[in-house]
Amino acid sequence: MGDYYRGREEGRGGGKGGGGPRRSQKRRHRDDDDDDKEYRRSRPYEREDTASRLRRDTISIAESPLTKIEDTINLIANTFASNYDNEELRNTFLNTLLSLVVEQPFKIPFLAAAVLVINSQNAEAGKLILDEFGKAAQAYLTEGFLTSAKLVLRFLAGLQGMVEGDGLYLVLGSIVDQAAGYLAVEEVGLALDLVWIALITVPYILASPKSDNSLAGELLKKTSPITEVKHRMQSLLSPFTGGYAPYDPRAQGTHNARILQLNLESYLGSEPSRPFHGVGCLPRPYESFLPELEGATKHPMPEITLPSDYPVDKSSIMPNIYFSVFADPNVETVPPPLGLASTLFRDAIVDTIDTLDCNRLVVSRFLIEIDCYFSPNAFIKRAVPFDRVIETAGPEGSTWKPEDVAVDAIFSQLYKLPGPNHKLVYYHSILTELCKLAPAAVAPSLGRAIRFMYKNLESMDTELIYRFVDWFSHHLSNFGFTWKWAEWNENLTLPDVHPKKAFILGALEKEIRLSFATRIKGTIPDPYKELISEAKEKEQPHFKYDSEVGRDYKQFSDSPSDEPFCKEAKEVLHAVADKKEDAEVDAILAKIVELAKESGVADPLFVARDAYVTAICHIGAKSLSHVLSCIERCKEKLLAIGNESPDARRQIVGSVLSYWEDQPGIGANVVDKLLNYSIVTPLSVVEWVLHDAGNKALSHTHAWEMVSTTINKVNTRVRQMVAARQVMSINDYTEEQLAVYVQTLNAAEIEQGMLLTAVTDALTAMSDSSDEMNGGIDVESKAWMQWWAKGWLRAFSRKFGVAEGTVVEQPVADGGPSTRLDPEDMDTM
Amino acid sequence: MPITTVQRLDAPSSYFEKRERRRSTSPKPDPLKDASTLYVGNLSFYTTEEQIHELFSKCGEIKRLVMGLDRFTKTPCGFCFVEYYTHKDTLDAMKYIGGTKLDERIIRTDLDPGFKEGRQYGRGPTGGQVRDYYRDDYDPGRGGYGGREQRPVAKG
Repeated sequence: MGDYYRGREEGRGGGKGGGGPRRSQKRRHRDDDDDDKEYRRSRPYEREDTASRLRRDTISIAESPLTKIEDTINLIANTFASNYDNEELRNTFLNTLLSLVVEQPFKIPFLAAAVLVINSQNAEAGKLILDEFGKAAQAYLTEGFLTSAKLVLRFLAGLQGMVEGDGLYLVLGSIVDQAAGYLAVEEVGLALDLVWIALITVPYILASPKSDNSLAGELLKKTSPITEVKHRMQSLLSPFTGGYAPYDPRAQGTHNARILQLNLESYLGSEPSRPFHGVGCLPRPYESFLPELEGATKHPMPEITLPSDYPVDKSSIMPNIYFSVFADPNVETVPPPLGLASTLFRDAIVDTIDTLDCNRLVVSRFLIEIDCYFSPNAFIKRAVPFDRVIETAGPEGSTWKPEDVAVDAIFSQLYKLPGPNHKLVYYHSILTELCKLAPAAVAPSLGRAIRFMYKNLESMDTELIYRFVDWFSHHLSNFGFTWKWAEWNENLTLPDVHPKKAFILGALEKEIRLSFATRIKGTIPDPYKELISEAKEKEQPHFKYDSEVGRDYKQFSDSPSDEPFCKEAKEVLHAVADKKEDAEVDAILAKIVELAKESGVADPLFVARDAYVTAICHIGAKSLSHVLSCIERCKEKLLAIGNESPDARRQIVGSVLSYWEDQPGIGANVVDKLLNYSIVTPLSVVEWVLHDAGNKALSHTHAWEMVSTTINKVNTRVRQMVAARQVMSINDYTEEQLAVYVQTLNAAEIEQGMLLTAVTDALTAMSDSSDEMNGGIDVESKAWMQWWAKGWLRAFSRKFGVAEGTVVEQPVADGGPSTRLDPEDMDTM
Repeated sequence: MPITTVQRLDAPSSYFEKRERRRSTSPKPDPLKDASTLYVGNLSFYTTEEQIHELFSKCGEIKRLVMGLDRFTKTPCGFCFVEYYTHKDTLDAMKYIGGTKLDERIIRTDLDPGFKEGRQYGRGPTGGQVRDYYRDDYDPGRGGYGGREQRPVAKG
């Protein structure tokens, strides 16, 4: 185990996938899929010099439970102390330490212990390391790499025993003073981050050979008022809404800095009930060296001067809110939020996930082996079945399941609001790898997580519901689409807009998009099969004008029919398919308009537009490439149609989605391409969903995707333009160029403002109980529709709140955002 | 900050490195430095553009998707090129999607210097990919037995 760092040996396992024996002897030919790396592997350990071996031993510290940690520490310390004069080795070791501390946070306590032992053998070496890390902390703080700074401070916390006087507490104290300063100027995000950095270091000092509770207590007194402050966006960042509290209400919607404050206070206030609770969950690898450490030389704390300001985007720093998917009232499989261990585990895991996103396999390995990096008693052994936890743990043992703690931390990131640190699919991929690495341990844990989230769908933030659908369907696609659907059978009778039923429908829809309808139908129990209509199994949608009804219409032109103007619409189809001149197409469209006028259609142009857009959809139905090349070919005409009016643009969206009614994901995709061509505008997409898509729309995953993708595009554009404007200087651009740029930016901001207004107005109306448009809908469905509208409103207020927050200087523009949302007002939802 | 203590999953394979080396001895600028195209391999012949789009758009908006085709039959032959708007999205797809499943097959991704006309066609003797010609297992997602096995004339 734990040999992943051996680069070439394990290589890019993810890329190669399948594993196992892969190459037949006779195969000598290279091809597209052949990257030949097996042939090029060198034997890694042959003729390895001392420095490289020391680096390897250091990197793999604590990975194997089969090696005693004391032996590794001794080996590292002896090798370094006795080769201290070898400059190359010295630098290699220092660089390895510096990298490891910020890249593999789990290993910090073990590395610190090794350095304590080094110091006891060679004080000069100890001082060198201490000073180098002092410099590193200084550099990371100055450059605004706050997570790295935090991790270096954590390492220094482990070295507190070899430092004179109060040591690190002085630095932590100044950081807290700075936080108070930022709070005074309303930079709540950064203030809380700084407090977090200071406070999360404290347990590591307390777990070091030289702990001092009174200094910690003093620090906590200073941080308490700061952590009581709420961020202006905080109420919109809570993963659950309303008064529901699936876990300890004190952790509900509370930011992590406050939770950490409370946890540290209660830890210092009373002896923990179990030795592995509180700071006791951290490893103490130095313990067997205590006699040697006793007489070791102490050094002055390296001077760390805090920068006067941090070069970070302060407005974008949002507080982190606690989230968990395990809250079983009977079995505590993860530490409760109001327990220090919870905060310590979560923090170290999240940093590991965040830092090592370049290799999800390594991250997954770490998470499976998380019990190697904490107190040996902190976890129950791996893969104990849930129903045997109590019995296995006994009266004194830990019931915390390592898999649950890992899975919990991943979900906390997947469900982080306003947005995750990495793309959502990264977290999907870790969960997939975990299941591949240790299926027996992780799969049941994931199952319980899924059930918890499903159970709490009614109080979950709307955006998170859609993230849940997205993850769930993607995850199942990696595991043969197997899920115990039968346990949700009773929910099939719920109205389609009920969050649970909507989840089921959404998940199946997304599964189909990753696979195909017939396949998915084969994976679900009978009662679910009717949720997938036969139309979804057809290769291509039906061209609605291509019907018998049409022919009847021609014969008896005054008889009512479903789709009038079939003959002409088919002519449009053939003309576009045969790449006829625009004039020829225009003539047919004009004929449709004429006929429509004659038969008294209210909006004759509507019919013509629909015929044209539907024809393009049908010609492009074969694949995305087909529809794209068709759009490209008909671009001018489509642009002209779109330019007719806002309603025309909205109608284009409608025609596409109506053609792709049974596979709305594809329709949404086509609309997104039309948006890129500016054939439709962001406003037309949003308005179509909120006004024309029907009252069930808000529970549909494609509707959410259409609106959120569109709004994200607009917000990102504004954000990028504002950022670019700030670095544009008068030296590089003429005044006219700058003026044009500002004008474009203003236009983009006006568009953003109009979107915000459109979204807010429409959703407010939909969430209003007096809405009378939903005639004929049962009371329950109606209530859920309003529920969705409120949820969407909350989610999009958050999205715009974020976007606005990042606009540093809001230029005054006529018609700009007229309603500035106050997030606190949203709290009532 | 560059990670130094673990391997990266978004490094290109040696495919292009080797090709480059074969062609010239003078050092050239790295063609993959800003690559925004991915080669995607080990697809089923039946996997559609929409399915590929659905998965790969999880890493960012897709600019263009080119299906790999059998150069004789012009039908999909199990690979494609996915072009993103940014280099970062491309690397992210390497890290997060390469080695996961699409249409229930583990797919392989590699950085690519960019699609050029002609590269969408298989280069194997029977029109598909070379690997499918020499493959001797039965793979229902990729046309059954490999091309060589399917030839009526005995090997040797």
